[in-house]
Amino acid sequence: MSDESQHHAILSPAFHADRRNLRAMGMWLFLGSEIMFFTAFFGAYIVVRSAAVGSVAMPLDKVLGALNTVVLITSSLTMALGVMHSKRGERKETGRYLAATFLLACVFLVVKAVEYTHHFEDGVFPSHDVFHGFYFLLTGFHGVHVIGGMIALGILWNRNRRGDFDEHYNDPIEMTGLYWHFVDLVWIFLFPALYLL
Amino acid sequence: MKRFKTLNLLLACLLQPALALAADTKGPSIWLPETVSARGRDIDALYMHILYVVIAIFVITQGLLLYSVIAFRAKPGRKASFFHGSSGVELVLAAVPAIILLYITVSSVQLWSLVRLHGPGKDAVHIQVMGEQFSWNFRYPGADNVFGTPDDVMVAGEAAVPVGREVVFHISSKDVIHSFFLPEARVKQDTLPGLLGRVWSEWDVIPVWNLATQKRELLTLDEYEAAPVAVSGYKFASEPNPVKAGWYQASDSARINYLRYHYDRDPDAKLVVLRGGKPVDEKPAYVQHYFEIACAQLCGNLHFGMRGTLRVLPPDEYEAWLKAQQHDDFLASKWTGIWDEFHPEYNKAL
Amino acid sequence: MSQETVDSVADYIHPEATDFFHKYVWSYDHKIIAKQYMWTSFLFLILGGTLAMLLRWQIAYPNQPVPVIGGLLKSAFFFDANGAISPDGYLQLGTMHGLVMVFFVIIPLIVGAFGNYLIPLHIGARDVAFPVLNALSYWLYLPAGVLMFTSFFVDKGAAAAGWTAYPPLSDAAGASTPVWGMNLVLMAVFLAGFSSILGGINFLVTIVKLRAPGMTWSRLPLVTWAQFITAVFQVLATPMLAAAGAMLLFDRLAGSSFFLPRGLVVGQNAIANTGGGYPLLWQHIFWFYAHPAVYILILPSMGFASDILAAFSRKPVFGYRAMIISMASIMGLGFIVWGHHMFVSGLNPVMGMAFMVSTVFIALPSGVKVFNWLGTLWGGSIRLQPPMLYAISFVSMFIVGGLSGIFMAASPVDIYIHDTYYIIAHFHYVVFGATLFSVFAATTYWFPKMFGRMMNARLSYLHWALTFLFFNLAFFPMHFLGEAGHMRRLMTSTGYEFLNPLAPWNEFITLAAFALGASQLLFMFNFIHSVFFGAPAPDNPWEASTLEWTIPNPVPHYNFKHLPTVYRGPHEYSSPEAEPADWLPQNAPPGHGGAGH
Repeated sequence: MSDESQHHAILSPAFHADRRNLRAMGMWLFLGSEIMFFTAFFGAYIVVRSAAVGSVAMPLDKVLGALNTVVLITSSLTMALGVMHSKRGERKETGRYLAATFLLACVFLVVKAVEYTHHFEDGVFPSHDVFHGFYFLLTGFHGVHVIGGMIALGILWNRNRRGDFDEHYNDPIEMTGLYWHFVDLVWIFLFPALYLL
Repeated sequence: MKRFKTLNLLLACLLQPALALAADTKGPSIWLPETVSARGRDIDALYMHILYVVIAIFVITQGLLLYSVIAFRAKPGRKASFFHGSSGVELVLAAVPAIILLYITVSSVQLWSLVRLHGPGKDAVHIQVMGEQFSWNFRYPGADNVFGTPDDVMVAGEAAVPVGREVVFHISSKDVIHSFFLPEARVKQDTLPGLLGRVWSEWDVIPVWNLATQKRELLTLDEYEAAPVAVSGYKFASEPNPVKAGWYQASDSARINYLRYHYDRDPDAKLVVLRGGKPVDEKPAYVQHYFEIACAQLCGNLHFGMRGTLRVLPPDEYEAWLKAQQHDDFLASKWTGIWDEFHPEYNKAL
Repeated sequence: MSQETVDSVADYIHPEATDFFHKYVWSYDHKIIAKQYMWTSFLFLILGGTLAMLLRWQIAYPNQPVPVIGGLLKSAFFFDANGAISPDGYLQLGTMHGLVMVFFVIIPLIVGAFGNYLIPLHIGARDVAFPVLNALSYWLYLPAGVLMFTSFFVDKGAAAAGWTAYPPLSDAAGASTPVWGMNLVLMAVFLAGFSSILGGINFLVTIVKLRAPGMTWSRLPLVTWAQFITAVFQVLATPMLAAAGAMLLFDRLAGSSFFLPRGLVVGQNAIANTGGGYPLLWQHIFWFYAHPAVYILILPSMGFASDILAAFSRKPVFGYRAMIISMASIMGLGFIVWGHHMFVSGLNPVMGMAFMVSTVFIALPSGVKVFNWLGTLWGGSIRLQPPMLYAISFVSMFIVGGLSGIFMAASPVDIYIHDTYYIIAHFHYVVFGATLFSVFAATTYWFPKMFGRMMNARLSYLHWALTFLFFNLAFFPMHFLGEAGHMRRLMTSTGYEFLNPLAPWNEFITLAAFALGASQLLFMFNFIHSVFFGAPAPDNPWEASTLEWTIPNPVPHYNFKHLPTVYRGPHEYSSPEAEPADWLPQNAPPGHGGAGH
């Protein structure tokens, strides 16, 4: 096999399947590292919270929190549907579901922005007390991960529109799906930990 | 000639401190400072046990390494033995260190329990220690044995403890993490703001300065009472009563040092030997001395200067020292404004 | 032009770059990325070492103006008005020395440079699993390093709370001097950590998925095994550092108080943060990362030493399986010993006891490895060429560093030696004496493959002798200083009477350290000169049996023309199958007999 032929090599479906396996393992490992990252925050929060004398439930808007939970879970559903359609090579449906996921993520961020604005108007910042420190820390980093996911979704939507994906090659969508489910999962822990308990 | 000079420099660097230390320490190793309590001797004993084990392992492994490099070096016609290992040898080589490590673990666990988990006795002296950038503050509970009351004695920089009694230090900090380190007592614990730590020790000996040899010595209480030890203080020729003359005051280690060097030169700096709290006409051989308190956790720019001193005194002199400390409003405000204000629960930790 | 179908990722190679930018700057080739890491890390090594030389000057000659540089830089950076090191400056030097060496020298060298270069070659692959991510990893690391050094240039200088950055000193406004210096450093470490995590993921997937046919787990070189286990540490532990750093930045920038309790008064000023936090919380999260980090610092170098010792003893590694089990045990135990950094911190004594037990027992796998290295040498035919000398010194100094660790593991003894020079001696023996010597071994060993030339042997011997001598002269006395109670991070010991007799030792150590630093110029010169003017190297100068030696110098873009099939383990030296030669490449078919020449 010479260098020249490699330059124009045809990447067979077997190659794509192989590369998908690699990327899946890579994504799972990345999610593992993200879990460790959020575990540090959650662990610290639990320790500080349980050591606090007379702990009070965080004065947060449960309704908005619950709304965001529903929004994110729905976005996970639309993401999963997008992945399913991409595996079938159905470009139009894939594009629709990717867009839906993106829009739901926007809704999530808007609701979050509303919450933050309410806090700031009341003069509540991370410096208010250590619980609000954790609230802003956890939701802030979660929000950053949502934005990261949205960037990926935007790129995917564009690539899908251009016809980059088919039933053989669609792993960026699948990988982003994995990542998106993780982001949703973090919120599912965040919501009760911060809003309910 | 240049090589000779360098060699001299090297030897000087090596020998001088070694000799200096050898004369100065009574610890089991040339480098360890003298111990002052059973706790210290126990810790040193564990240290030495580990040291013997470590030296043995060192000699064996480095010896085998050196031997192998020489005995098995490549030579024409030499062929290496082809083996991948031996489970039997591997097991033995794992089991022997495991047993040694187990022995070290058991010894350490026992000593750790003794030192950290066996609480201090009821008759202990309690002192609160507040670390600050860059000095040490001490508070004694006074006659009522309760912290945070008007009879508390507050001092800065120098503390005193009675010989032969357990002393418990309740340690914390007002700004950053410091570390309360008493080298000779083998006491060290970080002082964390927001956390009350407790360390305790006992001093069996009293530090004195031998005027003839110009070296520190440690005397037991009996030796101290038999020896002509001078109390620090000067310009007392007109007032021989130690308490009234204000001899026992905070930070009089400066005066001790002054006396060390000037006692035969300054006519006012007459040293007086006390027996039973009363001055007697004897030529002093020793002057009272102290142990140093060090900060062992980086706490800011002047971390290197966060030094305190610890006097160890016979019981009667210790009481006199407490009585002689004068109230300082600024010092008191630190305790009431910070320690009592934010952490009143620390005062109940007796 | 014939077109070929590529069926697996292992067989695929990205097109070879043709222009300078894609060849040497934004390259996907693991060999180029490895060299990028190498040059950058060596540069940071010089910078980090210089910081240490300045530190040592101050310790030996307190408040004396630093020669030459002090005169030029009065009142700038860490110098005071006389050209001596200022108190703030001293702490900046110490902090940055530690941070630069750990995050920007050692890890990038042993993982970024050697890991990158060797892993695909050792497993018989064309590149790593994610070449673009690989390039990104380097291009996160370099800006992070630059960011670190810009912190020296901001108002009030660089971070100065020690590399461990304990709050409240690193946290509370007014408790410490630097403001943006600390923030920049935290951001730089965050970036470098991200680079590290991505690299770890890359290597894990590569080693699991891209091994050549026949390259089973029990035929991997120990270098690869070590990199694999290190990568697990990197992926799982580094995020904790990111989390801790994020929380500290939040405290500093957003006014939260994760690590600040109520009632902090610095000087006479109450600090603004509202409190409710715990300084110990930082220590737990930080050390949960930083203890595995020290195993990241040592495991790859253990891998280099194992393979090099085997190659130059002309016999297999003694106890290959035990070596792997030991490394895995170090990894497993490495996650549950972090509290031994906190024995005197006010941690619950019962927890202290638990950490003591796990810490003492982590000495066991390390001990097994030392005995196995001795077993590798035993009965061998030892060729004392430069890589071997360095590797043998690695073992020798790892023994010293490991044994000194036992004193710290015994917590009652640690009460006394914690935060003294004893600790400094211990970690310099393992990180400099062991790991850096192993880096010298790896550099001299793989230089011919990387650059197609040989390093000058005589210079290497001289460098080895001087470094070994001066390293031991500089760091062994620190054990005695620690025994005497000499604390760490003191800009001068003259403030304490009990430390005064030790001043001549501080001077002695400084002089040895200067000589040690100067000796490294030999290595630097040898390295740079040999890259351009070294004697051309044969394809397999050491007659070694791992896969990288079966391909020609310079290594082509695609590594292997045809992916190799592996038939045997990596250290089949002096095996009967190899006769009359004493080595047999991993991919030589069975019955091939006497290996290549």
